[in-house]
Amino acid sequence: MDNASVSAMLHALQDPAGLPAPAWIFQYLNVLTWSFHIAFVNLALGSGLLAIIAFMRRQQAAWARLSVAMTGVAKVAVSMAIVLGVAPLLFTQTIYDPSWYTSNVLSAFWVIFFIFSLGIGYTMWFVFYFKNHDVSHAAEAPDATVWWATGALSLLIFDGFIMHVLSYQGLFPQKWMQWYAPHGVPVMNGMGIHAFELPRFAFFIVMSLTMTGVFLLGYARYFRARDDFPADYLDLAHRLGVKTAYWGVALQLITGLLWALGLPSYMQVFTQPLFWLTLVLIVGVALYARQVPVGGSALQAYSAMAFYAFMALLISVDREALRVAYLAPFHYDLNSKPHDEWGAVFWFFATLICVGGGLVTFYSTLLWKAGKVKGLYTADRMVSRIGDAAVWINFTWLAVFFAIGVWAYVRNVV
Amino acid sequence: MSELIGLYPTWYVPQIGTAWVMGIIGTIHVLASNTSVGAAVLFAMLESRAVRENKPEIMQYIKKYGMFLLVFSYIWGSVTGPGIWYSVTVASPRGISALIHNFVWAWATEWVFFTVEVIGVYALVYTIGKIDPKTHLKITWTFVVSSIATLVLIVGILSFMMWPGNDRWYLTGSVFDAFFNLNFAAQLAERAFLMLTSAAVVGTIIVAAIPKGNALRQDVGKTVAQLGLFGLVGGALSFMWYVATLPPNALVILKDRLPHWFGYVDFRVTTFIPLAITSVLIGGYLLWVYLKPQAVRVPMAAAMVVILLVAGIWPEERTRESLRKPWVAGQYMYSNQIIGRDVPGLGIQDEVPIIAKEGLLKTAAFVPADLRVITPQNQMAAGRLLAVMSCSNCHSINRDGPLRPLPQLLHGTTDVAMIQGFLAGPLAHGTVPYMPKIDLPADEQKALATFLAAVNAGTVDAEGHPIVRAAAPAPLPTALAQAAAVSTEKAKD
Repeated sequence: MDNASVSAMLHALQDPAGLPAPAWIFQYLNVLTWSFHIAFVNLALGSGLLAIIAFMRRQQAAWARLSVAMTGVAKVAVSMAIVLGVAPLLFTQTIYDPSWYTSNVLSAFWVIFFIFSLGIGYTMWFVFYFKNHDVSHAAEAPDATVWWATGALSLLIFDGFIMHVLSYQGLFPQKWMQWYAPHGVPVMNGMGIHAFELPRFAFFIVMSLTMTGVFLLGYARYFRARDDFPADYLDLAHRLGVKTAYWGVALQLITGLLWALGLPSYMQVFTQPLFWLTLVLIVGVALYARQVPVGGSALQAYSAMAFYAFMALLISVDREALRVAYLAPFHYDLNSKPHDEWGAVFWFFATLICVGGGLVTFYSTLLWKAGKVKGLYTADRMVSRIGDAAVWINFTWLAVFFAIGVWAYVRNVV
Repeated sequence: MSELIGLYPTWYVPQIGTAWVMGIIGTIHVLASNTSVGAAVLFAMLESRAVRENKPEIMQYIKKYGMFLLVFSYIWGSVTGPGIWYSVTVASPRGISALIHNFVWAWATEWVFFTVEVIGVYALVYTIGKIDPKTHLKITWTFVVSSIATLVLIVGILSFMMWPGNDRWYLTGSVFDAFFNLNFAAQLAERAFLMLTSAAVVGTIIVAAIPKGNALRQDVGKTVAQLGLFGLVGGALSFMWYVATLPPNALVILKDRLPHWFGYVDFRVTTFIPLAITSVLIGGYLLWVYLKPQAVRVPMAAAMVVILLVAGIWPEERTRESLRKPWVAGQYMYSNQIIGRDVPGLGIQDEVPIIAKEGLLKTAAFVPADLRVITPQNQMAAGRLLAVMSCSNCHSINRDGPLRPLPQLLHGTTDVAMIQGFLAGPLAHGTVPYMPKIDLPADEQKALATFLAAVNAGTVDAEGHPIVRAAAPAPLPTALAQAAAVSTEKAKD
């Protein structure tokens, strides 16, 4: 298909309802929320791998403890990755609907496989968790237990591959028709995996090591406050964190360069400041992690995670910039038919900041403080007040929601 | 080239169709998510009592149920939640796109609560006994309100799928007019009540797991059963309210779906009967749990959960999906993803007249170039593509498919003219109440009719491949044939 025909097709496929806000809002939200999502995907895969490696060395107390800890981290991280993945999925479908839907339908079988394999993989991880969640019995677990984890991790990585395929295929509208109807005959079984780019996929997978490395630095620092966490165990976690981050960054550089080399020449990626800035940040994570001393300050340890977060955000920007570049020849107009609904925009942001922010502040402050205490934690005055505010904000939101409902309903009926 | 209509490629699943794929995933999700929201209410009730009456042992039940919930609802519920989204994406991309473009802010708001809920459930379960009870109660109350918020936000979208209920939304296109539609409050009430029942039935598994003779079993068992019975009665009443808020086309389908021998009874009563049997069964079970909490056993409780899933949620969800026909969203997009009316508020135009004039093959985005113009050589392939694009979302094209199979609905006719007559008559004029108005030009009608007649005749399969049969052997002479031959000979004589 020539570019003009592809352009006409893309604009015909855009939803006729248009966008209820300027496209840039969705674009920014997409970039931001995807970086949250990939952070937890990375943490789930990296901590999962570490849990397996540590499990193999579980005869040593520190490794057994690490395996149990990482098993729990991966369990929660998968949950968070799923829930945080909903937002970028939503925003992608709002502004890149032609790419996302077409790519999905062309590989529909794999989309459905994704759902069940994710469920089975996650269930298998829970089985592993139930067999490997008690430090005092960790060394006694039979060797075969690890197959639950290995199976789970393999499925989760394959699910990542499916997501990669769905995103990647969406970048080539000029090939969709050829994929859908090779030789003019529509193939509607959705069994095809039409395009993938291994360096790109591998880049996001190896980034898991980087994430898990910096996470371990924070983990080791956090539990210094607890006297029931042996120093040698926390030292091991710290050393392992630096090493893992090193490996992650090295592999990110290799896969990232291979990815860049495979990009279409018209993008001239090596002349782009964004590319070099990303490279600097990736290397920066390893250099920063290296200088965090064992048992150093909280600021040093936790800011390594912040460094990763910046890198993930920038990679999310890169990902978006690439998508724009891939679709540029077809003059894809994100903002073709806006009809601003500022009331709804306000509704969302007010909920995100006040309710989401309030509740997450309450939970995280409480969990942060409670985790540092062995035994029962009694909330201090500040946490107690934040808790009261969270309950109050939550009920207020519900009351406002129904008040808007009554107003809208009465207005419509009268 | 003619004006393009943004129809996506089609995913075709032989036999069960894409609708059942969505239905199976959706039903699992409804059980998991219903249980989660209902359980949150149960936790808040029980924990408030535990703090008020200083009964910390109640927290054991909440912890066990919470752990169970993590596996039951937060693995499969979390996965099938986006899973519904994925399955609808591939089965009805334009349908989900319509909802997302109307409700992106409502969905994004739901996501905020969904995130809070996931963090909340871990905080709730893993801090029992590790933080002071009053602070823990605040976690539980924020968790329950956030869970309810996810419910109210998704129901606004689900109820809009049925209909806006008035003309205002078509004129304004405003998300608030769409969200707080006529069907919203009734559906919200129905789902909220039934969530309590769902949580109670699942909760009896945890009751059964408490050692026999333990006072906690008696105490919590009665509360759980009471909540479930309350939900059941409330659910039955709000179901009647829900039916009263349905659009006229849904009421026609409701009546049409009933067996003929129910015909003389009022539809509200008759619709109630199949679900009432399940309700009575569940109600009887919960009453029994209330009276004899010590007697309940895990296998029986698990069996009741299966009954709730298979005989309660599946038919209820399937009926709701059917009632919406021929629409998939807001009574402006048909179930075959073609827009069937104007929405001036959003500048959306009815696509049926364009298709009637230009044809579907000329206007749909994903049609191979060779099939845009029908010729005698490609007529069968064109007919098959038209059948898949126009019909397969609601119908099996196979002769023996379970999803309203087209060959059976056409009474197996192999008469092309008769099928074309139906396509040019009731279907083109939109007079079949549960069918989209499919108004195709004559050449496309003929191609579609030719394909359907060939499937009915067994000369092509639903994939459009010719079925090659071995040449039939010459029939053996039967007594009847011999007699006929003899009589013919005699007649000649």
